[in-house]
Amino acid sequence: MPGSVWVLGTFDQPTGALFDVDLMRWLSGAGVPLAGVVFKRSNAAHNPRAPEASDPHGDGRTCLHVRHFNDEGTVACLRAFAPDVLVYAGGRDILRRSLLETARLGCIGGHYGQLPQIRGMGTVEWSVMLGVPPTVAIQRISPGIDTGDILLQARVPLVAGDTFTSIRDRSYFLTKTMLAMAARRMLDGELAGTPQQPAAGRQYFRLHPVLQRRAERALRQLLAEL
Amino acid sequence: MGRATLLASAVRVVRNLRTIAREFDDPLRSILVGLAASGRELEVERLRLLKPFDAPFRNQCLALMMGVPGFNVEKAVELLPLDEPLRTQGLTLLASTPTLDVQSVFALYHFDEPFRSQCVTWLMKDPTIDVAQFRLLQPCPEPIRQQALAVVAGRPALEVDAARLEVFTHHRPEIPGHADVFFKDVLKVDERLRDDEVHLRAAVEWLLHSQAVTGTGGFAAAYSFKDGWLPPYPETTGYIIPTLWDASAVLGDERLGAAALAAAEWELAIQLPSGGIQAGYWGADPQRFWSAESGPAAFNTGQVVLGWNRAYQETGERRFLEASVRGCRFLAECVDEAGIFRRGLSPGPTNPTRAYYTRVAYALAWTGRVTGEATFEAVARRHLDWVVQQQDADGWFRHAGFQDDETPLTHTMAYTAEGLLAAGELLEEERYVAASARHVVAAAAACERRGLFLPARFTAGWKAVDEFCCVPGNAQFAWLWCRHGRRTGDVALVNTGLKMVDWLKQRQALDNVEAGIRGGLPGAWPIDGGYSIYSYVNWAAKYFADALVEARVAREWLDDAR
Repeated sequence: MPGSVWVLGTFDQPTGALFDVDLMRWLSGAGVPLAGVVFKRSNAAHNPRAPEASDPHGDGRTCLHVRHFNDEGTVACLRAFAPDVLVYAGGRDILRRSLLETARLGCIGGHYGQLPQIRGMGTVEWSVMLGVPPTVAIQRISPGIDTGDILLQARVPLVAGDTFTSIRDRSYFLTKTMLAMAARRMLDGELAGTPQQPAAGRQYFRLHPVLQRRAERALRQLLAEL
Repeated sequence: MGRATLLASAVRVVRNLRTIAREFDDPLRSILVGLAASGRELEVERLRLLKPFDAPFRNQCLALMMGVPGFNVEKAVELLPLDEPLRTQGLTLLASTPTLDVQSVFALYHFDEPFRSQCVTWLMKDPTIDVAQFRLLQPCPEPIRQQALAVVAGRPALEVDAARLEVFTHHRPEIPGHADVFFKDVLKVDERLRDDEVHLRAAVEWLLHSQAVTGTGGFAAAYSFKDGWLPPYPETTGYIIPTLWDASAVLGDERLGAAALAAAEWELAIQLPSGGIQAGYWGADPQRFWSAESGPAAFNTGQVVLGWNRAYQETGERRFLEASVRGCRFLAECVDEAGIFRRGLSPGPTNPTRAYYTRVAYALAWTGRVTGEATFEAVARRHLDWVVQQQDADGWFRHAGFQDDETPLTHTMAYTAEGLLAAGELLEEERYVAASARHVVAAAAACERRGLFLPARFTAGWKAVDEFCCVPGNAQFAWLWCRHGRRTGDVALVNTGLKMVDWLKQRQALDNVEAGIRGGLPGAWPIDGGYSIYSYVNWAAKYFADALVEARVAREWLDDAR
């Protein structure tokens, strides 16, 4: 096997169905050897105290059910599997250095904003409001907020009638496919990434309703110019 | 009824009567015979449980057994050792909740009345409440205990911090409205968000009231839970004057201009022969933070000069400008060659080197520009230049606190940035404005990264010290974020400012029964946080009003006027 890739995510599907979620299928489609998934449930009460490993299909692919991604036990388990790449499926987790360093080539994740300019939250709205093209970026996650090496970036195409919700839906689709492409190329040694200067961008935060309305006006204007 | 059924019923009655006659003594026997003879179904096995009961309790149980299907007489037995009225209360609880944990009733045994009855009432609503929580409240005086009970019982998961509760009991919990603030803060309950104008009117009404209670023209420093309204505060009265004129322009309320004028005149009346304005309160401080002997204080003088200058602008009366000139002559003597205020340092704060006197420098610069007195502007620039040199690359200012420990409050950090901004704009000196901007942008990031929580104090490198907020500091930064953001076109900074204005609105109680609280803002959040605890301070109301006025302009700038 040319390398091993693990996915990290919060999933509520039955364990046996974890390898059927869309990201896994995109990874498989890109020829990425998926060795396992580290997952937790969205309801914290449904997570085990200590990591629980299983092989639901009997094919050597491991499902590691954990309480927190950053727990010492999780990190120790993952380190023992020696993954080449971790793929973070998305969410609001802060991934610590000890976890990120378990994979030889690091942990990659998607971000809905052009890096390094647009970091943080509400990034689609902030992009539109600030005149930055809505973009999906794949980065090698670092302990900072959206400050990791930039691996891939692609503009999100806009169409008439778009809303922030529809742009985010499209960004979601793009992110998954690009994560698969990035993982494949990293394993092939074709993707090194471009480091970010911390001061080159800015972290954005939740929008006040007044700013949200302003962003919606900006989007209408942008779409009218298409 | 068929003959067979009738016969079976008769046999059961006779059997019951025989058992009753054999096993029970009067008066229980007579009662049961009466019940059996009238055809009531009697479970004699369960009735045996009543035999040791005294008559009142036995009759109560019997009544419940007859009237409440499924009444748990086995558990009622456990209540027998309790004294009245707790035993009856327990029985009532049991009737409504057959699964009742009888131990919870025993836990009420040592409670006094009416607290015990109040607890029983809550237990009847929710038998799962942990009575141990009630035990914490039992020693508290009324009415705080009753109010606390309502809060605790309404939220069974709440953990009451006994130490915080104990401190609160020293701050006149019996005054209506006090407990409402305390418990809302304990529970992190937000007040309702309303339109800016509603909040602005409430804030200025609070200020007007705080002025009226002093009977002087000065504004009471604070409404203290412990001491009521405090004496008028010359320093803050000075900088409330511009706020009232600004609010008057927005609200069209002439009372505000009149109140500002009365305040400016009162400041004239108390100006010291040196030209300065005294430190501390005008009158004895019941909390003894300020000593009775108060000499002229540079910071206070500067804030009053700002008020007089505005009064001069609004009225054209030279007496205000002349007072400012006298004040600035005093101020000019307070600054050394390096630009540091060395004389006239207020005796409350202990820091010997103070960067937050930029607001005094602004007062000097403004007066210099109006009068043409070059010395005033030169002294102001000397201080401002020194402050700019105290700034680190990350926007942090050294020496910006009351104390010499480099853990400034957001209140004085914001003072520093305010003075630089105002003076920089007045003098068209971009260095000062830029230094202010670096500071407030870094503060916004520090606040946003913590989920819009602005800790009361920071250390160098923007590390947080506290888990409470200095509310005036929050209001000051809200104003600064909106103002700087608008100035530079930084919508993200305005965004943080508007969110902070909303946060402040949620700290303003518009329906509290206490006039010292209603419409005002506290010194700290939560109210027992660690800065001006249990006090509604006039400078919080002032800066909140300023922030609301600025937010209104920012909304218009964002083309989203309401």
